[in-house]
Amino acid sequence: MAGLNAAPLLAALLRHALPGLAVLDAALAEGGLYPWLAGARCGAAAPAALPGPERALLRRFRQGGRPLFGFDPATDAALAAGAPEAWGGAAARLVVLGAAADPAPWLAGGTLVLARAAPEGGWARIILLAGAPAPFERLDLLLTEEERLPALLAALEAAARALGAECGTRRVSPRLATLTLLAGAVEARAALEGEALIADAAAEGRLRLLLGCLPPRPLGLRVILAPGGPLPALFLDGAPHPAEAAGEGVLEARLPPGGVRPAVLGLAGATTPRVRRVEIGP
Amino acid sequence: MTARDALTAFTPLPPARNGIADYAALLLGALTAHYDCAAACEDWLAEAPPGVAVLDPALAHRRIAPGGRVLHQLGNNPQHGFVLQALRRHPGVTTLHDPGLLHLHEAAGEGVERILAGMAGATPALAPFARHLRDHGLCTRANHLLFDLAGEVLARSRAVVVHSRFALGRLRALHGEARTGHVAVVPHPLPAAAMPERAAARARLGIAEEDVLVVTAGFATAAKRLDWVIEALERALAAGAALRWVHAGAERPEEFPLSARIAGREALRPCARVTGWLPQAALDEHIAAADALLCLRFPSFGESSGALARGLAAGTCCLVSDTGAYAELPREAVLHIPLAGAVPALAAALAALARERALARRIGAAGREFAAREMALPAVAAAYREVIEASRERPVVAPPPAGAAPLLVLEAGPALRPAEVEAALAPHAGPCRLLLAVPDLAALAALTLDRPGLVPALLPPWAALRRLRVQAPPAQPGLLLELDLPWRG
Repeated sequence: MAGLNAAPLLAALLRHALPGLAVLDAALAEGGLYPWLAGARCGAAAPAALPGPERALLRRFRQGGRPLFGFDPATDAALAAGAPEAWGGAAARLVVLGAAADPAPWLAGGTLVLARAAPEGGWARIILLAGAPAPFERLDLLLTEEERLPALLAALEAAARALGAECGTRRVSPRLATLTLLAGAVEARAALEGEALIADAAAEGRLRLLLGCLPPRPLGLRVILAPGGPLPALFLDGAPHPAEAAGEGVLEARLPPGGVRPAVLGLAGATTPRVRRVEIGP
Repeated sequence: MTARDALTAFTPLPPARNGIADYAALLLGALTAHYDCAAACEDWLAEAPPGVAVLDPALAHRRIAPGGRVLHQLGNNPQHGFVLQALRRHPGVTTLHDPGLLHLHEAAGEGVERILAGMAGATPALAPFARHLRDHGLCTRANHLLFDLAGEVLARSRAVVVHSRFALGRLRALHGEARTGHVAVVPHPLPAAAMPERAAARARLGIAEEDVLVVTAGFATAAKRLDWVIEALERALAAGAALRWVHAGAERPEEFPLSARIAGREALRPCARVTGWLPQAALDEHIAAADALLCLRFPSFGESSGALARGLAAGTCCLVSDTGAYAELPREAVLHIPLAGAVPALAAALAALARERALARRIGAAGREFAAREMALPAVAAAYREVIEASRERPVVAPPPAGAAPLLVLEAGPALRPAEVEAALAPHAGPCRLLLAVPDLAALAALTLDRPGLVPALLPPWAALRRLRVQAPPAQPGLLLELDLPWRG
């Protein structure tokens, strides 16, 4: 599944609507919200469903020194059980799921679920139709307590308006609502640093960074490195990729439209590159 | 096939200090005539030939279409660890530069269980060596000679390329006709670029025309028999031959302390030099400048030699051991040194070459003519293409899917022998349960007291014991072993 065109818009929407929300983006390999939702913990909810080489690739990465979700059974179980410590004590939790994952266990633990093509179940649902600006993409926000739906819908609508998006809502039933939003003006720029970076220090002099499933449109990339020393060579999805120096310790490149797999940035030099920040944007 | 189908090669490349890296660069450069080539290499900044992209091996799978063309360059050193892992994921054509892969398995951290699994296909007479490894962690040089660990590569490859009929014959002898029907012989190619001219190379290296330069090349491994070279040179020097010896390559002191050995030889010390690792151009200069290039080998696993190919291309007189792949070279193209009595024969040959320089030139010229005929790079690339295309539809043997572990039952009386256990386990791979059945628990107690170390003694070394428990009535009493058995392809 390709990266979401509307991922930056949806990430901004959730950030505004649900401040303090703890997010687990478990759809990293299938077009989740990474890298647009800062602070999200990332991984794959159903790694066994991934092709072997992709699974092996994701297994290499660390976020904040920890394996990605899906590759660390003890921590995975704590997150799935909604253990407060695992979620950093956050009051509100959201998990982003891919097509192969079952939302039921998450919902049972009181976690909101955002999923593409979510199956039918006994859950309340807000269908999000987002165009940024086109084509429209559908995601379903699932929750177990239907009494929370009106407030959640109102918060989302208010956030959409605050973002300058055109939007419309409809309550189809107590358990089903829709929110349509159209925004061409959300100039989202993802900024990854610290624990938001998903990295694999492959070997001395080589570093891989996971960029997530990027939207199907060209974007700009800016890599800010610790100053000193020559700039590393840049690779995209394993192959050399043209990049330009843009000041001391800064590399800039154009990213082609995202594909169906998470983009991987590679940096290679005489010593392992020290990345301070990665920015992705228009 | 269209003109530019994609071919992905998993291989080290220069500047890795690895002869196979040089070979791969040479071959891929020639294969660009047939394919859109890319090289997946652990060093992303490696030097690939023009037109060949270097890929990160962890992401190379994204370039490989289902059933796509894949080439693996596999040698017996840790720089090929990622190639071994890649061939498990991407079946293709594998060039087995060295059919002995035990050092690779050890150095690349493949683990004892995988090594024991690779030993599983060997003759039962060799089981004690595997037991020593399993029970005591003992691995001697004999293991490297007796176990090649090539079974997995044969099973997982659509085709396998070796460089000599000797290497093919060795694989056949160890693994049988059925498992080696897809092995092809493609000779080692000559270098693409012309070798340096002899006189110019000698001038650049400061070798006077009257000096008789003897060169050995590459890693100074034990199998290159530099001990024989030292002895033979001393004899030739004592007989009055005016020889200079240069070892153009890196030392591997854990295998053979070359510099220390030379330092201990008074007569040899003033006329011997070890250069350390050399870049290709400098190595070529030494080979081209030589009056004699020594390529000795014992024991031989059928390896090929890049240095020998360069020596032949340069028209340098090459002296080789009369064994393995070297024995297949025409008698007029190189000087064969017998294994029995190698030192006196080599000493005599060197003395003769020192006396009669024209003899060395005649042999060198014949070698060059042979190599140009049989080892030209375009012909080698075409042979590879033929193997790659012919093998595309060949299925590879896949490990059995994980399923319920079968239960085998053997009566565990005092007479039960390891060979019976091994025979019972032989048809199985993967998880397996074995019940060593006894009439009752008292009999089990008596049996274990009577035969201490019963389980390790009974199990073949390649059967990994995962769990053991006593099974009591009402189930059939006995020792229930949960095993993991190797897949032999």
